[in-house]
Amino acid sequence: MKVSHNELTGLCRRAFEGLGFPPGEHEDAADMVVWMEQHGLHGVDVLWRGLDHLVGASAGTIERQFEDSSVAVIDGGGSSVLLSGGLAADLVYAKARRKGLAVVKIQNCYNRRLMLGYLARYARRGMSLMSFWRDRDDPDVVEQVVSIRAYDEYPTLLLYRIDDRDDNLTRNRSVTLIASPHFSMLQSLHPDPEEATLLEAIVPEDFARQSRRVWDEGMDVDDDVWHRLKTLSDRTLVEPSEASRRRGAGEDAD
Amino acid sequence: MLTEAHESRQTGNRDTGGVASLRPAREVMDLDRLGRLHACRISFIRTLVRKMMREQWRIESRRFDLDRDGYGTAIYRVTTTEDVYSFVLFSRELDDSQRTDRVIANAWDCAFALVQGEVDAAGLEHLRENVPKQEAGRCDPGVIVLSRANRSVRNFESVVQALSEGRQPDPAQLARVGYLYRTTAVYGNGKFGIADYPKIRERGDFGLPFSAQMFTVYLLRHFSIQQAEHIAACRSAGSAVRMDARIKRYVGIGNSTGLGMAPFLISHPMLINQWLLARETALARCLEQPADRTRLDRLVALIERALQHTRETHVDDARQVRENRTLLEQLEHARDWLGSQAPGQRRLWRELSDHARAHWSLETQELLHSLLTELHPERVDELERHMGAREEYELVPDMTLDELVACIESHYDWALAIDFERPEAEYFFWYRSAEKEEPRLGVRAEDPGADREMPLDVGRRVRRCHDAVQLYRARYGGGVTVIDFLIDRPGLKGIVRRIQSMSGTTYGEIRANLLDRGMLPMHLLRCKLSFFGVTKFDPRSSRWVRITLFQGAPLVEDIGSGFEDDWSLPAMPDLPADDGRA
Repeated sequence: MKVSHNELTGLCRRAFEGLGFPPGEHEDAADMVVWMEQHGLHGVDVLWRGLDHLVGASAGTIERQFEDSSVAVIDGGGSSVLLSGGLAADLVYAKARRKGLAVVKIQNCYNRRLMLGYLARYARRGMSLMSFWRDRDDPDVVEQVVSIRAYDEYPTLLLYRIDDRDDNLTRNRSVTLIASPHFSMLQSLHPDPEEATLLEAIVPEDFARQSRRVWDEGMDVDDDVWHRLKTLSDRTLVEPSEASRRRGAGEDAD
Repeated sequence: MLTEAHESRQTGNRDTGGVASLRPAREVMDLDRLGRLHACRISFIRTLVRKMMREQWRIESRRFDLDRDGYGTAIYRVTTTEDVYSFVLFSRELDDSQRTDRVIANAWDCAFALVQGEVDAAGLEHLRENVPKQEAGRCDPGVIVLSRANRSVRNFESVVQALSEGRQPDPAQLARVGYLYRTTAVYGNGKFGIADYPKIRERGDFGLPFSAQMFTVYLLRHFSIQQAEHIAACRSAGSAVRMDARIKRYVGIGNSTGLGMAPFLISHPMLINQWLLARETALARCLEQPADRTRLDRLVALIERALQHTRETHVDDARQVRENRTLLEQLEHARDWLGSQAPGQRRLWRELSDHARAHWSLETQELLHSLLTELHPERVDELERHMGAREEYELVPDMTLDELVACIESHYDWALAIDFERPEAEYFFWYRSAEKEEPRLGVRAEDPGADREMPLDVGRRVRRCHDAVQLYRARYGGGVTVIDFLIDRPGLKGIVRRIQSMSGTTYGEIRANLLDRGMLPMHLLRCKLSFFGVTKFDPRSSRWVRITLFQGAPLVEDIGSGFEDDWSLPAMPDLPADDGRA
């Protein structure tokens, strides 16, 4: 079905609220999913695939395995990055603001592409950011590199096929965030074309074009996914009664 | 975006070198005062009408395919300086038992949409299939506004009857109920698949908040008059008359509104801040202007009209009856007080405002403030461009806890002053019903659903946040950053971000505990409605109000002729007894 940006945002927010995400986190998680969907990266599909991991999980709870003033390593708990990504992005931003450069790594998490929206959000506030992760795509490994300059609206996303089948980064399912307000980390093509094949390059113009299309045409969301989100969202609603109908809102309230 | 700093520059007074000061947030954002606001020059329907008249929008009937009872399809084409739109309306017979203004209704006398561009046959069929279903239908981003309305049965029938008998409708009846139709919801911004607001925000026609929705209501008003005339002509082709233009102008559109508006005010604090900032800036600019005889006479005339308008406002609600009675007495005092003043070069408007503040009710004070903005359109009207705001909040994770506490204590002192130990302080809870997700108010000790409470309790959340920060600070020190605190207490991220963001605004939050037993939800509804530009607040309970839009506004046929932007607080037209006969 075709849905509007506002509809999808509202439904996702309430679905995350229904999942138990606290205020602040449920808005952030929804915004990340919708940002990806709006920009052609299938955020709803990513959410759909990871939804079962979110049921019963505890959003916003992160455990720091290592930390100093400019570096932190966080345990993603083997779940969606939606549970830990918001605070991780806040953490890298705060450290970079204080120390000029920061690196935060979330280990053991899924749906890492959902970090893109956080990067775009903090870039608007004058932070240059880069993110890096690798996925197993048997038999190969796919490396994804995102970068965005301070005050830019959209990032650049490059995907490479890597010939590195015993890669630690892939095994520990980590995503690394690098931030600095002082300098931007511009992407260049992979230095070793023998080992890496560029699969896809999504540049800011692509993101902008996708976004315009959504405002004009809406977004396509699978009916089953919509209804699943609606079911989760309904957890926040209160069943009506004759008394609530009469007293709760209307002309006979007093 | 309008900011207080911007205003300080703009309002610099050439005579004194001084700066017009805005009223403080503790005064402006007090819910009791917000609940007494009246429409003013930069209310949305005033702005819309100015634009429509200035740019001479063309509104033409493209299809008026109604049967003798007024049921069928109507399409109007709207041509602005930028674009073409279609207003498509479906009118149907509705059993009296189905006619309810609550959002939980499933059928209405008419349903309609404002659509971008012309509508072709296939598009019309899609609209016919979906628009009458409203929430149960699906539209596409070509639709900008989706709405529905019910007839005011007695008024509609009596107006049609009068016209069919060759008589003009009784203006006194329209003074009592100033419309033929009441809208019950006017949807924009992506609801049910229609266009998202960002799609139209950058366009000139409907870029300002709610302007597309208000324009749709204006077109319904036009249709309602044409439909009544059509039915009258069908009933008695030989004797029916058209409605006198003076009465037509006195026909508005009603609206019934419940608690649905309340969550909007709490979830859009940036926007509400901007509305109040624009209104207060308008007032501050006017209060600093020197009085002159012409403007003093105009103000007295406006008060006379407000007196008549209020006398002609009929309400049943005991509280509103008392308030209107007091308003009438005090407006007379204000008129007499002004009559004894010589304008000179005095800041007479400031003196009037100060006098009102010292002696008269909030209702009187705020009506006088609205009237004062009518005196200096050259200082006020440009503020209409600043009524929009992006509802974006930014967490400042590197802020220290000392800074956060200072933020809370300086900007949310009103929240910290609430005693949540009193049982009355948490008497109510807000929830969303499974019935069309209608927002409702429950009594915590009696009604189910408090576990799914909506987060409208800003005051209580601030209190809890402050307490938690203090504990954390005592343990780890005030130099610790917000992100460290939030990693420990992630559930507070939403309120911390709100505090940080709203602390940078002039008016920020509505200063009230919305859970308190003494809280009057009506004040929230009225605050928002005043910015729409409505008149004749007619509370039907503490959480349900009927109002009138566009009463007194120019007609479609007036577009292109001379326009004096002076149609607020309309008085009943005084028609000679034989006037309007065919």
